[in-house]
Amino acid sequence: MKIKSKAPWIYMAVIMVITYIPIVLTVVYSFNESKITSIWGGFSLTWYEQLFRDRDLAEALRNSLVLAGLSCLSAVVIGTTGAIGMDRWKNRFNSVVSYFSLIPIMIPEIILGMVFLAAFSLMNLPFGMLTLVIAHTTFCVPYVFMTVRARLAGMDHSTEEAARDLGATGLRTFWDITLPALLPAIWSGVLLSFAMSFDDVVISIFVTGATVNTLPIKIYTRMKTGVTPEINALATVLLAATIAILLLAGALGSQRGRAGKKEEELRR
Amino acid sequence: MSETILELKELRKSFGETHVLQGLNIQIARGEFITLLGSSGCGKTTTLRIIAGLEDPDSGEVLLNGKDITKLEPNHRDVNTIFQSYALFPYMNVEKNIGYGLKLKKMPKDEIKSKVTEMLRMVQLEGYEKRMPDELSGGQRQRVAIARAIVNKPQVLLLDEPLGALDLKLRRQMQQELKTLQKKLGITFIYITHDQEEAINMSDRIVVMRDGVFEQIGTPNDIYYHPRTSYVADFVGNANIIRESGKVYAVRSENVLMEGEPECRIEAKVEEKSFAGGQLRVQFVLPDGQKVIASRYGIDYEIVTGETRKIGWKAENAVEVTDNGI
Amino acid sequence: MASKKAQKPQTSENPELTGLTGRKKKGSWLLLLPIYLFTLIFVFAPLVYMVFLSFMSRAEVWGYVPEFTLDNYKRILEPLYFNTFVDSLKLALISTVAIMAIGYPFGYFMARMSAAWKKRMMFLLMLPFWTSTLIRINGWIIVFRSNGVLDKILMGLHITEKPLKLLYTYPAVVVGMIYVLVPFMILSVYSSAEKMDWSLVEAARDLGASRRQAFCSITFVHTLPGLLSGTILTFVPSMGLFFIADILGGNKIVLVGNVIQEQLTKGRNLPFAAALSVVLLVLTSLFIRAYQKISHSSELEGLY
Repeated sequence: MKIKSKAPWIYMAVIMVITYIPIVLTVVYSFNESKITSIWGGFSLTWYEQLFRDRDLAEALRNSLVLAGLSCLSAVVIGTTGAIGMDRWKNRFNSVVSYFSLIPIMIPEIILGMVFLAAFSLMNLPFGMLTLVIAHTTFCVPYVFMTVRARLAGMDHSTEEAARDLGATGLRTFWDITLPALLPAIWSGVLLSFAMSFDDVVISIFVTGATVNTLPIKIYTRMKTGVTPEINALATVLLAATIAILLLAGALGSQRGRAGKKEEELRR
Repeated sequence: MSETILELKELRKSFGETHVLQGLNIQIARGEFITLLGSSGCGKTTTLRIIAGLEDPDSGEVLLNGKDITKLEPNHRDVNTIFQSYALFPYMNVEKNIGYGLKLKKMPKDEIKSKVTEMLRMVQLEGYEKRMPDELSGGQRQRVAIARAIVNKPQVLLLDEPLGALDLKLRRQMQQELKTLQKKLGITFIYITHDQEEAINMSDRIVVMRDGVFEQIGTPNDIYYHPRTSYVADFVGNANIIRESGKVYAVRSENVLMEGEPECRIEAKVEEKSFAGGQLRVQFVLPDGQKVIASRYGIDYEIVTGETRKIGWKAENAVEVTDNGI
Repeated sequence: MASKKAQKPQTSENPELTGLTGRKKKGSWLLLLPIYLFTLIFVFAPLVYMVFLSFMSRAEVWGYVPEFTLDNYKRILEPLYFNTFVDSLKLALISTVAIMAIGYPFGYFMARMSAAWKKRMMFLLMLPFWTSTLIRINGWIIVFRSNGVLDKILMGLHITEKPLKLLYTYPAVVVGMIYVLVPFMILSVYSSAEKMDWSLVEAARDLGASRRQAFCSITFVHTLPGLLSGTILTFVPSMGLFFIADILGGNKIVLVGNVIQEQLTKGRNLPFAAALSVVLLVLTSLFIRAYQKISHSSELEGLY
């Protein structure tokens, strides 16, 4: 079925325009000579120069990337093994554990922040990268766990049996058959986790130490202290990077698709 | 009978409260084409999975060449399976699918390649090496699944309703091909189906299975002409089960006489007339309420629904069977 | 069948892992270990500890004194704190209703677009999602600032005479909430509308239903799970997103999230922060339970 009337298109266009207004303004004002956003002082790259000289932000960016990377990695291990384990070794604790493992993304982040702050000081963990990774892992696990579990539920286990039947050991079967089938699910879980971790302010603020700052924390504190045209420049750089990555991923995907189609045409 | 290759001894299996297999015993000869025939849920797939090592029996033994393999992992059994859903590896092309078993045996690459090519020729899929499973039709997938299993030259090949997903025409064709292939390779086939025609067409012996029990084992001829129970008579021969003075007989519909032959002694009312598959089927009701179906080739019979006729059958066509329901 | 089998203790000489459904799974429990332990230590235990803390007395500097008390909960009933709960709920409610009104039609229309347009729309939706929330909020500061973009436009069009000074007001916070959370609603509604069999609508129309009737009896019913889960996905976080209230509302709008944060950082009152969190947790759980009751589903649609 196609949409016939024009109204929905207009409606969606309006929403999209509003969605992008703040983003576009951020980009425009990142090139503003004037420090005050209400005045257009002419085109300038001042803020970019300042941004690239800003060691603080560079370090925060590095911390955020490391944090997101480590959290995703732990989440992949915990979420994937958990989903597979529950699929193979069904027992009555599974539903309880999966319920609790999903809690971190079901409740307001502030509660998690508070809970971790209390628990980590009880456990005597040094606040810093370690506590950040643990906290972020808790809310990354559900994304990987749920996507992998959904994939497993829809999976045809007979291919695994066929591999065993043809002489593969259990581990070999996992490597050759199960893992390739799960990879797309793991990837989509990782992407979501990464985005969530990279963006998180609320939980990070509570569990970070005095020495480690993540990019969102840094941005947040600067935004609270006043006008920060440098942040606009940073936003523009991040946005450009995001678009580049998304376009690249899209292009790679469609190229592979096209190559496949061509091959098929050739065969005919 | 020639040398026994596979033997099942008192196999038992239950899932929770359901007793799926209740003590199965059979000896299967080398090179035999044997079919497990039964309706769904009778335990035939479970039997096959136990032979393949995909399922553990609760008790009993599986012997391959006289050796107990009951506890052996599936990858250590010289038995291969063709799965109902084909179970082709979706991320591997045809060549890799077929060569998978050989690769695991650490066979050199060029040798694998030549074996795969040979197999593809045998199943008439030359030139399809690089295709992915989702680019194949149902029949082609079926052939790849066959090639993938027989390339390993197993002693026994298990086939779990391999033709179930194909249309009728293709099924008939594949039945012939499988039979030819089996004769050529000399591999023992254990074949599962719920289709009695398929079983009769292909098998050396048929095992009729019901509720986890082997109800009758015999050649297609045996099973068809000499059913031992009313269930076998009905399931395999579509026979009428007639209860008469404490005894139970099976009479196949083509043997029911209705044209005034001397054997026609029973008054029966024509209840229904239908034409299907080149045959006219007439359903009679006997005075005691039992229903009897008679069939003839052609449609030109002057039989009117509602009329009463005399019907009967020759004594040699009424096989006495044990009554165990249908 | 396989699950029944799996529940029985497995006996096997070979501890090798198998991918089989019906056999030998000894060793699989090793796979369960990470998620079991991690969830127990870092989710379950901390939550229990939070409940425990909420019944303890406050310590001078940090931590707690192990004396049982209900004071923390009594204190929540004081108007100062009770009102923040009411305000938070009110803001969450207003935002959620607005998000439903904006997001539902969007998700619905999106599901009815051609495949190519769906792809484009998804890209356009995901791009902001991948951009930092804070940075997008920062963009709204530029819009709302006194003499900012919005004021300039409105004054230029002679709709208003003076700058509106929208920044640090309630409406600014509501806009911020809607802006951050509306994609979740769109995606939930979209994913349930996407799964819908549109021939049902055609059948209803064919049987004489008007456009409106067909929508009410078919489309709405089928997209309800998406709408409900979108509601949870927006309502629940909106009570805790203190930084939006902080940045766009200045110090004027105080939500539960802000109070908890303040009690932890400035007030250093761990037990009271724990009690506030417990109450917030109970409130959220109630909403989620209600969702599960209504939708008969234990998982949220469009969450992944």
